[in-house]
Amino acid sequence: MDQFEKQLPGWAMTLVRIIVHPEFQEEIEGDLLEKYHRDVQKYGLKIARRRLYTELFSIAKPNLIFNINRNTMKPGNWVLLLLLPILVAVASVAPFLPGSSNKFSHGISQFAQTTGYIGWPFVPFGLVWLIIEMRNKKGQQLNRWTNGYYPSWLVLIPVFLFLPLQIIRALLNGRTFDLWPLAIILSVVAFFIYRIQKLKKKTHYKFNPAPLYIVLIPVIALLTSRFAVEKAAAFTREKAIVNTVPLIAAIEKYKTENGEYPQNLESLQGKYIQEIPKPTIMGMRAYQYEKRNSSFQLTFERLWHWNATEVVVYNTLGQKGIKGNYGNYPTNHTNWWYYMAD
Amino acid sequence: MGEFEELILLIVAIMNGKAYGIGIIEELENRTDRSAAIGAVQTVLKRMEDKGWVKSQFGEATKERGGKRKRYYSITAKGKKIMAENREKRNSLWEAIPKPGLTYGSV
Repeated sequence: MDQFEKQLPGWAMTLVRIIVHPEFQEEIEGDLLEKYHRDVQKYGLKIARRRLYTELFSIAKPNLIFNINRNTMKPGNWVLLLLLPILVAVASVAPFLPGSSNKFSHGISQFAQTTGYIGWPFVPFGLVWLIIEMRNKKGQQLNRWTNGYYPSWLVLIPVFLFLPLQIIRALLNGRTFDLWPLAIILSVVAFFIYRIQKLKKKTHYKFNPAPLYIVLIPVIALLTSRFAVEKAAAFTREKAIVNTVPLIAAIEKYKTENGEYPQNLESLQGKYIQEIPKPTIMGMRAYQYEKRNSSFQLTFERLWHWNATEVVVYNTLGQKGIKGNYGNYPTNHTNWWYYMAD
Repeated sequence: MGEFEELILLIVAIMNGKAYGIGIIEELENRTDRSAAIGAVQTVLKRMEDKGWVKSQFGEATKERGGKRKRYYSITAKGKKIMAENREKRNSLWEAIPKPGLTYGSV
């Protein structure tokens, strides 16, 4: 070992081997050493080391770490990568889009949101697979560790154990499920098992974009659910409440003229209101009217994810509990409340 | 093509098959008084290789490189074509600058 090698900070080269893609390691390590060697002769040890550290920062670039280039993915993969998150986001907010009430919007929204939630525990698996995919060399011979087969199982076994346990726990706590969320869970699990079994046969490296989707879709679904869905729900609730202003005025006018509230909304049609308004939001059901002794209640509801239903209530007597509700909240309008119920 | 990309491609062409990471940085410094980091040069080289403008092959290992081989880059026909197109664009821009003498004379 000569003087130069003794002076070289060993950790720096270890760092290069860790962060730089294996395909570029020899070249970049050689360049760093050559430059360091010349800098030592030209400027002395102290400055040479400082310059080496600066160079280390300069190699921390995505295409040197992961070898990302335009040949990594086919054009179709890029399109899919762009379209899938948009589809997930749009499907998640479908019940809050303008349009006539329909069950389909609930279905696709719940499908997108559920897929996002179920996909979340699989994100670590996607990340491990993605790192393996991006660190392999083109045409490299793969074994069951480097093709991601064993690492995938290592990451997924806890997830496969966690999901049924969560379902059993929810069932024991008295929660009921429709069949379709369970069908989605089983489909997702079956899909992952199928993908892992395909990995087992992979002997030569060729980039597979599947882990990108596994990471991206749950992240987009969660972000949409956390931010867009809450905001869209609040916005459309307001819109539907404002929409009832002429209806409530007609009900009150009926009471002033007849001394009591109408038995149903149809009694208002013609004389008091031309047409009973409808919520113009896809995920909302028609306004429901109920005559109480000295008051009336106007409600509309919509399904959120899984079995959660939002019931928005107008009651002149103020806040009233709704059967099965687990949370009640005021709105910006007098006598209007909304409840979340099972 | 970015300005830095163009410079590196020109240096690779000048070095005629003997261009490698540190060699390119030194040539760039000598010819343009401009310094560049290894990471920046390597990123551009990889990008240009991916576009098919340059090709590379491993060369000899030296002691000062810790026994690691150099990777030599050379310009491809596609790279030469891109360079020529770029030069033509620049020339046409230069030619588009109004010539003061002629403008004055024509008034």
